[in-house]
Amino acid sequence: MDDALVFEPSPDVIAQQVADETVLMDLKTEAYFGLNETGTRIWQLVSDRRTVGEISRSLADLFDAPAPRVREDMETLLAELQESGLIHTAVAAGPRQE
Amino acid sequence: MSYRQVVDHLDMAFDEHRNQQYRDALAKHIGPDSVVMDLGAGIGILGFIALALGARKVLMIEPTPAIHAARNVARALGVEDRIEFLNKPVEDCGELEPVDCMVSVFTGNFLLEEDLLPSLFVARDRYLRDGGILLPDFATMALTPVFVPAYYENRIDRWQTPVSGIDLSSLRSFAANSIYPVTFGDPASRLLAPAVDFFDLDFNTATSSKCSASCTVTINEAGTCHGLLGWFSARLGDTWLSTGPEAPGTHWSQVLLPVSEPFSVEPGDHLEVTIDRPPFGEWTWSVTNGETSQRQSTFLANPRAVADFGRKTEGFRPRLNAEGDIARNLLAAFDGKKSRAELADMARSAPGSITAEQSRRLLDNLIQMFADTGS
Repeated sequence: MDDALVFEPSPDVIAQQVADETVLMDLKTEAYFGLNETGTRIWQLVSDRRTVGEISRSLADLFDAPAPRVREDMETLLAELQESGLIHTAVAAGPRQE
Repeated sequence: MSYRQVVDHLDMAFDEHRNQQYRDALAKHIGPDSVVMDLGAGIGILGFIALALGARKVLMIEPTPAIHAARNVARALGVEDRIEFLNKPVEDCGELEPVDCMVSVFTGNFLLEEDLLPSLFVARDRYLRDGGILLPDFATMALTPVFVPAYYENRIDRWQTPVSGIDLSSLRSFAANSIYPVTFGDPASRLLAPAVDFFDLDFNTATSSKCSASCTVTINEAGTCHGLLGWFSARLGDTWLSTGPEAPGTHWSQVLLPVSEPFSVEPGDHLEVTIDRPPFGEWTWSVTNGETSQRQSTFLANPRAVADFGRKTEGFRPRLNAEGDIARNLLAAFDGKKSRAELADMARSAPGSITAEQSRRLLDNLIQMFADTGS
């Protein structure tokens, strides 16, 4: 995945976070999707329109794990979320104000 | 609303306005040869009205024990021989004679939430003869934005006030995503726009009770919008039974679909509203005012754990737990020969980690759900 790629949640998805977990409901398909602690952090960063590179770095800092492993797990989840229609690539990823 | 106890039926049975509307409609469609199905009969009041109007026969279909109360009433009225009682869901009723009229009260406060309409569609397709009539046969859902400051303060913003020194404000979002039965009438409350019918359901042809609708509401009174007031109207022959705030009172309430952040509106403002609700699913509603949009969902009305929802995903591969293992063996022993006492012994002595109380409850549930009682 390109570091500059930006995803965003599908407008048909509603998310509920309880403690460190998140449950997603897709209004279109009426399907549910559960995220663990790492998935929840990724979902938050996707919701904040962070780039793939930023998400990857944030996770590596947070979980103190080898960067390649974190990157692989993140890309797997993002691909799964995208395939399920829960996220899609942002149409126009303009510069973000820090 | 649960109707498992006889007393649960009081408000509905004594809803004279509703009863009169149904009576008037039945009177126009019942003759001495008429066979009427009272679907979800409860204690049978609509079926008894049909008999009083001269119907030849009534089929009362009611899966709960309330039907036994209907039997008592029938005996007292001396009409037992004109009623066929079926104590089971309509889906399990098998072959029955076609009916000329099917009367039902399968409508919740906001029409759909009791999820009984799919059963009505099954009954219609199986048992309503050609040219027969459904009462009701059509329904609409309506809404309007409302100003309900006292109710909103009491039910939603109250969570922001510490209680016994404990801050519960993190729970407010659950309250703001819940739907509330309300009877509009507090003098301090106001409707902020003319009502809009946003969803129709033709019971004659519908095959699903899925609601996915949108509408535009034009504000005609300045105020703070705390949410949407919703209700339904049902067509009974050539008249309409409305549960709206300006109609005569019924045992139904209206419902409040709140917004999380109340906002000011002025006459001429246009609100875009969407309402979604799949059968047996969650309500989701959104209100857009200019650039600002709010979306609420009953999905967010209760805390959800991933473990609970994992079970609903397509990829979930269920495995029997200890109780399920015992249930499987018990069901295999439902052969019409073993007594309840023998089955209870079997459940109690089954290897596993469930308690005696759990095994008793398990057997009760299995008998309730799966035993053929022959009725």
